[in-house]
Amino acid sequence: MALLELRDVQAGYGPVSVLRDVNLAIEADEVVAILGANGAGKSTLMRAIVGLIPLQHGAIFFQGRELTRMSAAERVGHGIALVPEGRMLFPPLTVLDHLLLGSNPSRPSRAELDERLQRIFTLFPVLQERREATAAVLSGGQQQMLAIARALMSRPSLLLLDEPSMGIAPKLRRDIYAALGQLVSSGGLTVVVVEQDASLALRLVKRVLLMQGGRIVRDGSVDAFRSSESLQRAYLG
Amino acid sequence: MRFSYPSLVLLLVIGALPLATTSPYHLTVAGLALIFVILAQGTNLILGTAGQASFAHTAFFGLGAYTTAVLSTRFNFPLWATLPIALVLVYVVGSLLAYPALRVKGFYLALVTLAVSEIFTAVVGEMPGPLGGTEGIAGIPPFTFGEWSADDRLSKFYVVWVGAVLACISIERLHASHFGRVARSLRDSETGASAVGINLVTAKVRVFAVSAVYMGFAGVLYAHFMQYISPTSFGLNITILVVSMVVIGGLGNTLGVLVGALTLSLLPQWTRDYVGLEPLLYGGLLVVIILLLPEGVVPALRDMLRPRRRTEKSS
Amino acid sequence: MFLQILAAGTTMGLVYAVVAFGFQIVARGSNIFNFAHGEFVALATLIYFSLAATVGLAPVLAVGATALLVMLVSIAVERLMLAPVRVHEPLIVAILTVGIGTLMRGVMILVWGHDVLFAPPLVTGAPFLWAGASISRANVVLIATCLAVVAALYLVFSQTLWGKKILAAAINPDAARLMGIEERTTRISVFLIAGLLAGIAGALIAPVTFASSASGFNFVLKAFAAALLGGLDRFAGPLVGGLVLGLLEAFTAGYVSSAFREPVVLAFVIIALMIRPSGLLGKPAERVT
Ligand SMILES: Nc1ncnc2c1ncn2[C@@H]1O[C@H](COP(=O)(O)OP(=O)(O)OP(=O)(O)O)[C@@H](O)[C@H]1O
Ligand SMILES: [Mg+2]
Repeated sequence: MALLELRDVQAGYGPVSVLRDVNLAIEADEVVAILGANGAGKSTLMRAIVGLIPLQHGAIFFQGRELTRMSAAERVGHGIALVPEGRMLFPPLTVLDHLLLGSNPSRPSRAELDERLQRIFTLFPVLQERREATAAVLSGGQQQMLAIARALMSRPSLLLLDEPSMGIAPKLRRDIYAALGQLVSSGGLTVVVVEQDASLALRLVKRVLLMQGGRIVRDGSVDAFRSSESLQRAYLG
Repeated sequence: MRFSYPSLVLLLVIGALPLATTSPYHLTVAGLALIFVILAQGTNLILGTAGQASFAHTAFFGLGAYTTAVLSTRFNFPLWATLPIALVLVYVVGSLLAYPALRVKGFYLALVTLAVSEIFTAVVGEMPGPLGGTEGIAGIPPFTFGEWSADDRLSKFYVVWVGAVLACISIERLHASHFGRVARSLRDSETGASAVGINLVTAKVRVFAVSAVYMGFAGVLYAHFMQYISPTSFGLNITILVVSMVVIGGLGNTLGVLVGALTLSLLPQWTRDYVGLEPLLYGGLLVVIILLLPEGVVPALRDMLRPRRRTEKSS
Repeated sequence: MFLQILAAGTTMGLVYAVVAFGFQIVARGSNIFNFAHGEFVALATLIYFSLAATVGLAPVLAVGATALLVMLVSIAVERLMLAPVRVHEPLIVAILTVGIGTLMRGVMILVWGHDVLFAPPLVTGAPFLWAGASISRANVVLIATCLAVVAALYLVFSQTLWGKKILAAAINPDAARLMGIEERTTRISVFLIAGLLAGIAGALIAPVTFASSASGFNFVLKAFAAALLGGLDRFAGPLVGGLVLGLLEAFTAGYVSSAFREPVVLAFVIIALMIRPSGLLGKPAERVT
């Protein structure tokens, strides 16, 4: 049984459909990249999976349970976390506040919470240094780390990342991907990452989905993707 | 001419009322209902069509009424002079007030307009000299046009009726014109409106001032129809009543607003035994309608009578 | 004279501030401009009157019981009349609250009538004499209670996860949903707080002014004005705005004329907002143009 399954999904904004006929199955422990041009519907797909927008048609299953009619908050409680496009931090709240809020969906015990914080601080030491700083004063890279850390605090089984390297200096991008690599290799986490610039993401993943016009137009292994020159040129520039 | 048949029929039915009764009481009730129709149409323009949270209706209603009352009682100005003066004054005050208030987003306009209404009633109430204070102004002459003067209830009723018909026709034409499109675009999408090259502030100020003119017009009619005004006629209750008329009939829908205004002004005639319970009645009605038929009664009825449109939508 | 006016203005200003905090928290946490908010304060004055004068409860108990009852009414109103609404344009929801407020006033008239009712004082005893001014014990108790309420609110929003969840939902509703924060919970929370605050403010002010089914509009207008005047997005906005309004009211009444108190205060608010649209504490204007 797949960890996440989308069947004939159609979704969008108000009466407008952006996603059409999306069928997708992702197995546990897979690491998947979603590539596509601006406006292809990648973020819309993320929002539909996590429940920020309702489905117009179709169904979503996660760990065999149907999520279609669940609120975003419930879905997060069942182990899906999203690092949204643009990070969506809470500027006046501190780093620690964000992490506490991030842990909220799974309601951990005190000890469990401390252990999770420790893990986060090992992964992103800079967040420990700046734990009392408000999100507003963090650098772009630190903000992205915080956004990822906040999502990890709920101990998700599925982590969705929407353009985690957007607007971040190359050095920090590598740091962020190094941290993601560490997470993946420690196991127990399924990752779906959306990127415009695919070069870093492709080093992390085994499987690549291509989106175009709200549909998934190609789904294959990263090796197959690399061996197709036309795709290489289109997405790795 | 663009004018919807149901509106026309409704107004003609009201106009034919004297065939059934000429009792001064009934004519007064009907005349007031027509004045509320004008108030509601003016309010609908800014609140429903343009989607701006304005609650200054009673201030402009009062400004129109007080202008004509003061000019005609203290200075013996005739109606052909007081009416344009009142309307221009309302337009100017409306623009001056709207310009700063509308530059700011959200509910600032609601606060500013509510505050202005409060200031208006407080100032008028505290000015015993020229404005009559809480006593109000009595002895306002009836409508006069040259030699002719509307001395009896029936003539006054018809003057108001003609005023209401003119207001309804003109407002429907406004809605269908470029001005109406601009007003609707203000509600639908502020960013959209500015994208197609409409200067938002100028457009909002104009819509606000024009809607104020309708309320000022209603005020002029009210003063000469009742021949007596006092600050209590322009209080918060009237604002709530007019907003209820607009929302219950159907925000942005001129026929709905007409129906809403007539229904709510005539409703107290059947509930007279329960005087004092108006807040319960109007508040309850407003809540129930917004919860059950948020688009208003008339648009909901229209959808019911046109089942085909509905199925298209839901499929 | 000056000190007495200062004390009266501070008292009223802090009461406005407590009411305005409720208005602000609801506006930010649920995007509802609640024009019914003042009716909760009016309801509190009447409930306090009934509990303290008719039932004969000790004033302190009556304040507590009033606050809890009004809080329950506030939550009930949200659940029964605001939650089921199917449209989400803020303007329609605001008009719905106008309807709710009117309905509440109708119920209050039905139960308590139109009369102005004099509620028993919170504390009795000789006024404090200080620098030639006499300041009533009630004023001192009111000022202290309101300050304690503001401090408690500050602690809720700066120290508790509950408060931070509300803040998160106010700042970015989508991000809050990703933190497992349900919109329903946030709305119940903000109406709970607003009801509690309105209940406390109404019960405290009832003996100073009076209890009346007609006082609601004044409270919502002042709360609305105080919240915007101080800055809707600032925690201290309602506190600053409420104090400015209360003091201006008292000094206008004391030195100019009590008749022109309302127009002067409201005109000041309008002009201040023209100059600083985001409020006294807010950032420079966020404008449409
Ligand atoms: N909030 C919204 N309301 C209406 N339409 C939207 C909204 N967000 C996105 N869209 C539309 O949906 C389509 C897909 O947008 P989406 O954000 O999913 O694309 P994307 O693949 O994530 O693009 P990008 O790489 O630029 O982030 C676009 O046509 C966009 O205009
Ligand atoms: Mg995107």
